[in-house]
Amino acid sequence: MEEAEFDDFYTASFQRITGQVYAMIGNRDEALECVQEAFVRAWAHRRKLDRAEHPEAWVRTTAYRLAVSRWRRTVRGRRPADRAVGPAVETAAPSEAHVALVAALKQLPEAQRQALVLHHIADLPVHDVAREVGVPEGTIKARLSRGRAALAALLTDEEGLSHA
Amino acid sequence: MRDPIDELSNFDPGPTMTPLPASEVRRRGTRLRRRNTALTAIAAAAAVTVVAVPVAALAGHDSSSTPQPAPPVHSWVQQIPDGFDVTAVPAGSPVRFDARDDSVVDDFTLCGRPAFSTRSDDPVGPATETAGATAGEAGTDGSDGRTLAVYADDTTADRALAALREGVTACPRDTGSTPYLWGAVEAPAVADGSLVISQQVRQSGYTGDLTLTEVVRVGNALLLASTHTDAGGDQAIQETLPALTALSQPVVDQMCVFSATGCSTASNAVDPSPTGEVTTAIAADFPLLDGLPTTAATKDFGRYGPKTDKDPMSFMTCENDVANGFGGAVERLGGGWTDPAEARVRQLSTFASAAGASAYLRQVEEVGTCQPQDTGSGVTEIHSGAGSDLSLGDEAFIEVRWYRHNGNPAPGFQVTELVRVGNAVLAQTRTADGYDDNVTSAYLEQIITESDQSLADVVDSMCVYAEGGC
Repeated sequence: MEEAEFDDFYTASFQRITGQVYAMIGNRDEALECVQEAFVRAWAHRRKLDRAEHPEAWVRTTAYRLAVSRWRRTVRGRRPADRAVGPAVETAAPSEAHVALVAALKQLPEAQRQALVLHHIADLPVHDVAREVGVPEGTIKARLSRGRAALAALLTDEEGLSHA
Repeated sequence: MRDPIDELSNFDPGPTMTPLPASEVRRRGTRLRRRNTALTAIAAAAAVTVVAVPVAALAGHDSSSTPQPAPPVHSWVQQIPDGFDVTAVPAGSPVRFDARDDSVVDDFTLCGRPAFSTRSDDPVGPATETAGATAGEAGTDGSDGRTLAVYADDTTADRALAALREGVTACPRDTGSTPYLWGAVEAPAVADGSLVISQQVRQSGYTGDLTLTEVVRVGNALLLASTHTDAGGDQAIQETLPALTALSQPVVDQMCVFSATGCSTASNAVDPSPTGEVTTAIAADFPLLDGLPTTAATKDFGRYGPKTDKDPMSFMTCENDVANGFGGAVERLGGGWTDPAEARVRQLSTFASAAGASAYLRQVEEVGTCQPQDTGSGVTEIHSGAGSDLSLGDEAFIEVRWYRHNGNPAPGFQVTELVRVGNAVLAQTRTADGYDDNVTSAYLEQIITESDQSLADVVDSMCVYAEGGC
């Protein structure tokens, strides 16, 4: 991938990938930093990126793994945050509905959340979600079904609470 | 009830973000790449050194010499000599260490039991003197640490190394507050004794936060050199190990001052190859597909390949994750055969050494061998690992996963077989998922035998990678 091609790819997909990773992890600033770092690694490994059938999926997966790794370390409280991606900063989300959705997503099991985001926000067909996650299509379908049901219930609960 | 699909489809990631300029992203990526490339080059140079040393040693060995008298009692060096540089790195390395007065590598407490410490709670005994060095912020991606520990004598140092090895072996999975996975990584023996330890964290289905520690004994001293990466899994181990050993080599070289023979003789490395050279190239006409069926249900199915594979073969783990990678191969050739009801995939991988090939085989064995698992709805998934009945190659491994439904035989299976010959590994998976006959005990035996027999001719052709050739 040449410089111009990479720059175009970066410009066109940064916002989109960051939104998807945000939906997966529930922290916009951290998503932004992890996606930024994933693009740094993408340029460092651009030959690998050339071979990747879906460069955007490569960056998204890398960013997601960075976020998971950083979350794990934060949870353990044993090590400082990854210096490469900088400190995490919580900022307010833009709207109530937005907050509710992100909060509901965060309550879902990680696998269901990932499947929902990739299929419904990243618009990937089930086949591509299965390939990106590395599990059979049937597993993704099950995760989507359960995830949608759980998400609907969570959103309804939240709606009831906010109207009470 | 709100429609979650609408909510998701209209997901708004918030205000416009301001990312770094693309040029800055490329600049950082280039810097990262330079660091990785430098480490890889250093690792390659070190590998050549490792092979060359034992050849020179063998050439000078006189097997007809008469027994030597017992050596005099050795006076072991008790302090780290002035000028010993624990921060030393190979020429051209971008890594810079800062010297520390004391140990910097974490003590090893495995499953609640101390296995190594340079202090008084070491199970063997405290070191007489220690020194350390760090590069980067401990625990962050790419950080490194070194501890040099000097003991009263070589026996004490050897016992400290043995205690560490035993501790790791006895504690593959630590279920304490942090769920660590521990492992002793296959690697060529170095100096008077050595060990490579992997420490990873397994949480929420992910394995990561790998700390790889190389422990090398020369005489009465131990060097513990560790490196940390956010990544995890066997591929990360295989990719990290060469750089780690290369980076520590200049310190190991200096450690001859602690050996019984001083610095006049080379004592680094033992390589299993008698010639010090291995073949890694895979011939274009290698008969990878021999033994596979030649016919299929329709023209859309049947044999494919062989062709050069860019990516390593994937294997299913016990958790039904796909274990990508297990890298480290120099060349790969892939191919297979498919039918509507069955798929067989093969890959031949060559490695820089027989030890590397063996480590690859063991990694696959490790991720695929586990206890039966309840997958719900009365279905139990059973995994079993077994040695090859035909004793194929230098070592072989078969793992079969099949199913029971309410305790009765169920359809579908996957058999994974790996065979090593010298520095090459042939891997084959055969999957019949739900279309085949119920897997009874007798059918299981048949499946294993068929897998073994189907590989025999290909294994014969792998003799070019054997130590003695064909």
